[in-house]
Amino acid sequence: MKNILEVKNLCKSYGKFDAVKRINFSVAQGEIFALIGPNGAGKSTTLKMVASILQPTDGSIIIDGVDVVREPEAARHKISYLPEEAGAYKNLTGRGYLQFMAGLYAETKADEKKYLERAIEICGLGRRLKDKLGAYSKGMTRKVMLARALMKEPKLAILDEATSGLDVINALEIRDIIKSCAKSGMTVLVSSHNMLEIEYLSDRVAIIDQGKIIETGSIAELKKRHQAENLEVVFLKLRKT
Amino acid sequence: MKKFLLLLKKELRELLTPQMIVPFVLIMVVFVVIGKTAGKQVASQASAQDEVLVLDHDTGQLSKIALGSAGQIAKITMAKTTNDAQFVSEMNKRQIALGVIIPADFSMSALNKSNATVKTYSTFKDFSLSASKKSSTLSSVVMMINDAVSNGLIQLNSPETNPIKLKNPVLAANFVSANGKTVEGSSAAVLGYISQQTNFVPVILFIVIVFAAQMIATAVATEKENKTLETLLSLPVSRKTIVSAKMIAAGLVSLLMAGIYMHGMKNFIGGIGSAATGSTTTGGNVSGIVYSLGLSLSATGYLELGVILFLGILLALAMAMILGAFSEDAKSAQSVITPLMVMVMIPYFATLLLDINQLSPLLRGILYAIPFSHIFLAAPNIIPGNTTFVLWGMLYLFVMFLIFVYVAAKIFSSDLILTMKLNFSKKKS
Ligand SMILES: Nc1ncnc2c1ncn2[C@@H]1O[C@H](COP(=O)(O)OP(=O)(O)O)[C@@H](O)[C@H]1O
Ligand SMILES: [Mg+2]
Repeated sequence: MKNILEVKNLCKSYGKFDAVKRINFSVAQGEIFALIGPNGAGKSTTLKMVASILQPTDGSIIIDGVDVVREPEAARHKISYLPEEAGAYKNLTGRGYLQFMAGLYAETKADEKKYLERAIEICGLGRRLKDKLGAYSKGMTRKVMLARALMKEPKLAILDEATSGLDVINALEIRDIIKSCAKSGMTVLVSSHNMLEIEYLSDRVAIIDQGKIIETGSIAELKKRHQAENLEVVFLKLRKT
Repeated sequence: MKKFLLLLKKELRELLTPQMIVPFVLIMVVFVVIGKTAGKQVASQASAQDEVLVLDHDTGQLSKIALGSAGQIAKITMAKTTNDAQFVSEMNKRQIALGVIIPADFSMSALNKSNATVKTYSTFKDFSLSASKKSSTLSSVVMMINDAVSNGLIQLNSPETNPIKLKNPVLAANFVSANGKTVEGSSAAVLGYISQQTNFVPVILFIVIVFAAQMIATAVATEKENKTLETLLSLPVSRKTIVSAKMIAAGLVSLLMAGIYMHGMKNFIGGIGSAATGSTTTGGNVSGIVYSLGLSLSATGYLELGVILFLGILLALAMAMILGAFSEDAKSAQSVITPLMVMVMIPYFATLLLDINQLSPLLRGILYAIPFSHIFLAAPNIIPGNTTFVLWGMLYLFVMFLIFVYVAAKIFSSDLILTMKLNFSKKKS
């Protein structure tokens, strides 16, 4: 299958501090690929660069044949990005927010309608969509945000800490939504500091620590290679060496 | 275009929140109410004559004539007591602040070519504007008494002389000239009228510019804080559209505020001003003179003022947008725009308190270099017709706006918008 995302020698420095140091990975179409690692490892920085809102210090990012650094505007048509702990405009209703975003994603009225309908279906909030976002719980807000990110069925969905801070039920629902979208052909790049949870979501992972990718592979491969019962143990073993 | 309108609508909705509208409406209501009631107060005080309690010991007729003439400018009330020692306590009891005691030898000494002495009394309850007006009433009363007595003496000595002509043999006809036109009128009255009409302009300019800056810096900072900006920046919408929607929305709200403030303040100042001038000079007359001299803000004058204010708002918005990009949350947005506030405050107070033409060339150069100075200098230059100066000011503001909007666009289209921050306290290791 062809690669939707190819990241090569990607670097990012904030002033003198190197947050991301020459990382490489690629994600195939329909795959759910996870960047996992502890806090401060450089996951968000990497995702922001892929999402075209941070400029890499070095390296290249190709999304579906488009160079993100050279043609960010073209790349933005292919992606959607869900920031870590994204907030929303509190004075809008859930529906109002989704409608506003559909208008910004869509080029035609027909698309706008289609996107809105899909978003309403994805978030599954029903009548609560009439309430102001300011009155939503964390789980509800995250579902609206996820619906916003997935409504246009982007070539690549970039989801930063999609489920962090949510209870078991909400996290499970969100994972199911992401999985069903991937089944229909969407490519997903997620990040998580929760290495246990990610086993339920992703096909392949890259473990990132202090700005470097220290291991890549499918979950089964990694467990076998390091003789560990879960990814957390894999990470701890990798760190010791 | 569709996306721009969507964003514009969203920005307007974010700006026109109850938290923003309520204080604004409150300030307006306070201004209008104060203006209206103060106007009525001033008007009633101006029209009402001050009361003067008089104890007349004079045995002759001169005091009667003198008091009759003093009665033209003050309400004369005769005291009940005949005892000087009880005069002040009667003033206090009857709540009359001003008093005059005329001595028994008043007529006699006036006729005998020595000076007569009247005693005047003022009691103080407060030191407000009306108290100082009362004290001037007292000296006017003494003046009227003097006038009446001297008229009487002149007529007594040479009955065929006109005492008024004798005392004022020379009359002045006053002319005021401006804009190449000359009209009969008093310069003091014209100056007073103009400053009344234009005093409120700088206050509004100041409030509106500071408000606009705060508004957009907070809007940018809030979007950074809520991470809604990151979402916005990842959308298939050009950065120019995002920046211009923010600027135009804030510009529209600021202009709306400016308009409402102008209107409200005009009522406020007008309420006090017209009542005050109405009594001393004939207000209508002065405004007629001012108008025929071209010294009032004409329609084009208002237009010029509007344009320069608009340019000033745009510049303030562009600058505040850049400053807002440095902040990480809405709270720090307030402190981040301090340099901008200082740049607005300096010309505001300078034009309010200093005579710009008396400043040393260096200080004046510095003042002219601050773009916002040209907003505050606009009204005083538009009125006497220094249009060239105002146009240069406009051009300067516009060029500065272009520079800053270019920088703002650069920041928004690079990742500086997400990574810039001012780290005063915590340094990253
Ligand atoms: N704007 C920034 N300026 C300076 N340093 C930053 C900035 N953003 C992130 N960092 C630093 O870069 C490193 C990686 O951050 P991040 O990518 O957010 O990590 P993660 O998402 O994996 O927790 C951290 O040490 C963080 O402190
Ligand atoms: Mg992160």
